[in-house]
Amino acid sequence: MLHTSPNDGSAMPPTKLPAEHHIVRNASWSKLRKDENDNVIGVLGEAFKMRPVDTYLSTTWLEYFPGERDSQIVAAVQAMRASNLNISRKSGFAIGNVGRIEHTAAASEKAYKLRILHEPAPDNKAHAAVRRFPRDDIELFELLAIDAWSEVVLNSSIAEGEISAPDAPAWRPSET
Amino acid sequence: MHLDQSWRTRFISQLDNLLTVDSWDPDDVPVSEASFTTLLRMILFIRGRRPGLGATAAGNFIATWTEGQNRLTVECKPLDQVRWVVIHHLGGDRESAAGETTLPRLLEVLAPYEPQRWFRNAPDQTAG
Repeated sequence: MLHTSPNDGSAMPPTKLPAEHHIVRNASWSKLRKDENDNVIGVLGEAFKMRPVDTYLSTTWLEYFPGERDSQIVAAVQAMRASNLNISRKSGFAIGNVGRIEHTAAASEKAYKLRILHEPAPDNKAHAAVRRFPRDDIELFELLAIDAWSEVVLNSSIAEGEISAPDAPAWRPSET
Repeated sequence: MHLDQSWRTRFISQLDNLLTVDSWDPDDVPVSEASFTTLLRMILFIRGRRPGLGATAAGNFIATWTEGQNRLTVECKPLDQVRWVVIHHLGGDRESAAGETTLPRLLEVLAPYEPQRWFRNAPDQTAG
């Protein structure tokens, strides 16, 4: 997939996200891992199952947003709220490190070679696509939940508000 | 009853919390009665600690047990079919496995992973 440069309209390849960056995946309450007293302790592997109509796993690029990490998390959640995603009061967000996600998938039995790309969408300019992601590998999904996407923040813990992602990322390749 | 009043009250509270409208993605299929039957039969079969509850987009209940980094996840499909995933640490090593079986065979299939670690009652729970 090629995207158009906002500056001159020319075709440009999507940006491959650096290994040290993070992507955020939303999860409804039904896809959060809870203990027997409904305390949230992570996400279920089910949170990483694509819908039949999807050809990639949709996420949001955390370092797209400016500021320190806490500010980036708030901005990413507010941008996801402003997108077409269905996010309820009880939803959560799993934050995963790009390098760990790629490594966990590559180390699995089927040795998936994922590509995690910034692919801005009309409703979320910080959208990142995880391509070559399997449709149904529940063992890998659980390993991703415990190894790579283990940090979870609840929607209710993030300041209210919906603010669309800015048109361009705060991060520049020269910063690595 | 096989499960005492306190156990049932807490379990129903978990179900209520799972089944409220804001627990769901509108694109997901509501959980099915057939999956719930398998979930209940599994609970009676195991007679131990209450699981955490979740659901698949296709409308099946998910039961989870978590002990530190050791995790058991079971998808309850209709007609006593269960799909399971285990992440199990032994010494410094980790094993993971997944499979699908029938409910009567579940404990036998999980036996190498010492499933009682997940099913033994928490201090506030009794299975009656």
